[in-house]
Amino acid sequence: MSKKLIDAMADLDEDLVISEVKTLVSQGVPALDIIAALQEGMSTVGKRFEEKEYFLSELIMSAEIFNEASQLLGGVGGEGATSKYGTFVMGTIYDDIHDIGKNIVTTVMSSNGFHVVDLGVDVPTAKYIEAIKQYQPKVIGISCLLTTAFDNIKECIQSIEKAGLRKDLKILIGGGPVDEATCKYVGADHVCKNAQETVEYSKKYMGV
Amino acid sequence: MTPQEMTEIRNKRIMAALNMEKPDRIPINLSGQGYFKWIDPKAVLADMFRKPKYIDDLTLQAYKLPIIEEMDSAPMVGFSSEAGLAAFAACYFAKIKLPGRELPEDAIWNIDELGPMTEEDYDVAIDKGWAYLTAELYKRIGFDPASLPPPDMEYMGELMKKVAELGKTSIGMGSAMPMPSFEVLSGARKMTNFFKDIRRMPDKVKAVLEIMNEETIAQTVETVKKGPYNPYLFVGGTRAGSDFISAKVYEQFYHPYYQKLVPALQDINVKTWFHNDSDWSGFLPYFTEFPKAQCIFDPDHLTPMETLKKVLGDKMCIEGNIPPGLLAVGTPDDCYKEARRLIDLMGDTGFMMGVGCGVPANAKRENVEAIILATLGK
Ligand code: B12
Repeated sequence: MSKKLIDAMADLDEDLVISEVKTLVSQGVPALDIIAALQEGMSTVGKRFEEKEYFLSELIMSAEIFNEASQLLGGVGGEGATSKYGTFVMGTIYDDIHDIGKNIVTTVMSSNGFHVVDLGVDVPTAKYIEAIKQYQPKVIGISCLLTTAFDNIKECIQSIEKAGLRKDLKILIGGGPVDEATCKYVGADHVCKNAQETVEYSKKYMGV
Repeated sequence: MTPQEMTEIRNKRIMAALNMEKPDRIPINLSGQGYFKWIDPKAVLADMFRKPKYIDDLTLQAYKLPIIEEMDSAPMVGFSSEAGLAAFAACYFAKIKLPGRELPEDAIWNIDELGPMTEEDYDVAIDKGWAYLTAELYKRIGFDPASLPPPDMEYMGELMKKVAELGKTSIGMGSAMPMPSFEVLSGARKMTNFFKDIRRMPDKVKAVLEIMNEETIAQTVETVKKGPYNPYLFVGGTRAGSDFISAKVYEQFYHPYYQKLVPALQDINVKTWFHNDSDWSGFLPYFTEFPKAQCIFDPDHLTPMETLKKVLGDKMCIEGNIPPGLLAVGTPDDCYKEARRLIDLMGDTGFMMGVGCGVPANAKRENVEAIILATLGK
């Protein structure tokens, strides 16, 4: 595994990450190995975050660099991507465009080996339902930072249930103003305060 | 009692809290944007822009409802114009999206960040100044301050009379809104690019921030001197916090702004009202350097009141801090208990009852009432 790439990712050296990925590709290194190196670098980022050497701003940057690099490889979350742990579908609920927290969670999940389908922001219920049917995830995540969109999450969850898709599915919610009371109100399974909790919960539920 | 006498009592009450003296009772600052729905449940957020005068009228009526009338802060009226919001969004070089136009009827208005500033523009700001670059960036996002329709002075005059009849206090609003340079630059570049800039070219970022600090603070002092006197000036901050950036970055890139602003305002007899979203707990020690009772700290629900009390409690008044989510989905009992908990924690001196950032547009009336009753000790 390329130590240079791991370190560049961990140190958030964007230019070096991109050039190193290109070099590795041209040398014929398999995409999966390159992704594994990026993931290794991301886990150092996560560690530094926990040790308060890195902050949200570093997580935000790491998310962007990781995504940029994985685009060069056709995307980690692309069709047919293999994953150690299964699929996680996530988006920000309709009428809400906050995406910083969502991007952190999706990136940390994919750098921890989940196959992530990121539906974007302002996501309508129909799109969640379509994605659940298509990818059959065990866990989905709905991000929401606006109290005025709490009713939208509630509607979305009820519709998922009505469509008969809730049975083996856990629905996580998160975002600044979301708490236990919100969770109860919208009928979700669990609130996660940060990306790491999301990883732990999902691993546990998916039996990893 | 006349409305003027009421206003005097409320001004005195709020000034006592701000000066860290004991007021006759804890001031209640719970202004919000959605109170019009309590009068006309069919009204939606899109009506704020379609029929602003009607919405202003409903809001004024809501302020006269029993219990709600005990609130000290003035109603948020006269704000719901597209022009006003466009000007606000332009502070971040963003565009505004409105309910009923780009958004559903009852969605909250939206700020769509555009990030028009390029890496090369740092040099433009260094060579020609921030005001010059701002005008350039406005052109790029298609915002022309000169083309904004002027406010309807006649209507505003009438409205201000009606507000005066409510006998509220408007201390804390002020006639300028000096957004910290860090926030403005982060909007101009877009947050992720800005964080990368800080890492890649810290000296250039610092140089531009310094230029911005000079220009913004000079202009703020100018505007405040010209406008109607208000003892406090509101300064917003939302793109930092000790969860967002390291203390090292805060010290070098953010705090210098406050260090210049607070004394500049003090010189013209104005105090600083810090309104800071996200978790600021790790940075609170920096605020102890300001003179006692020269500032107020108004956080959102992510900075715990316990920490605020401990670090800043004997330095400045603290406002807050019911979580907005609780007002939207909690019960009156939850809200009452949370308000009582805050009062027990904060005491009656140097504290104002408020909500993290602002009362959300879908706050339940019973919940707002519960907070007021708890504060009145009823
Ligand atoms: C940055 C910001 C913005 C930026 C957004 C930029 C962007 N691209 O996202 C801009 C300026 C555009 C913006 C706009 C608005 N905002 Co804003 N914004 C914020 C702010 C300051 C920080 C949010 C943030 O990114 N935090 C950092 C990230 C990393 O944290 P996070 O999102 O909470 O995510 C973490 C966890 O919560 C968790 N998580 C998040 N989602 C999920 C989902 C799942 C499934 C899981 C498991 C976990 C999880 O993991 C993340 C990583 O740790 C908050 C303040 C706050 N206290 O949250 C206000 C805040 C969210 N905004 C608010 C408001 C009201 C608005 C506006 C309506 C305008 C206004 N009046 O200010 C507009 C409307 C936007 C819209 N319609 O969507 C309010 C909402 C409260 C309410 N009343 O509903 C807040 C809370 C401010 C406040 N205290 O009042 N905003």
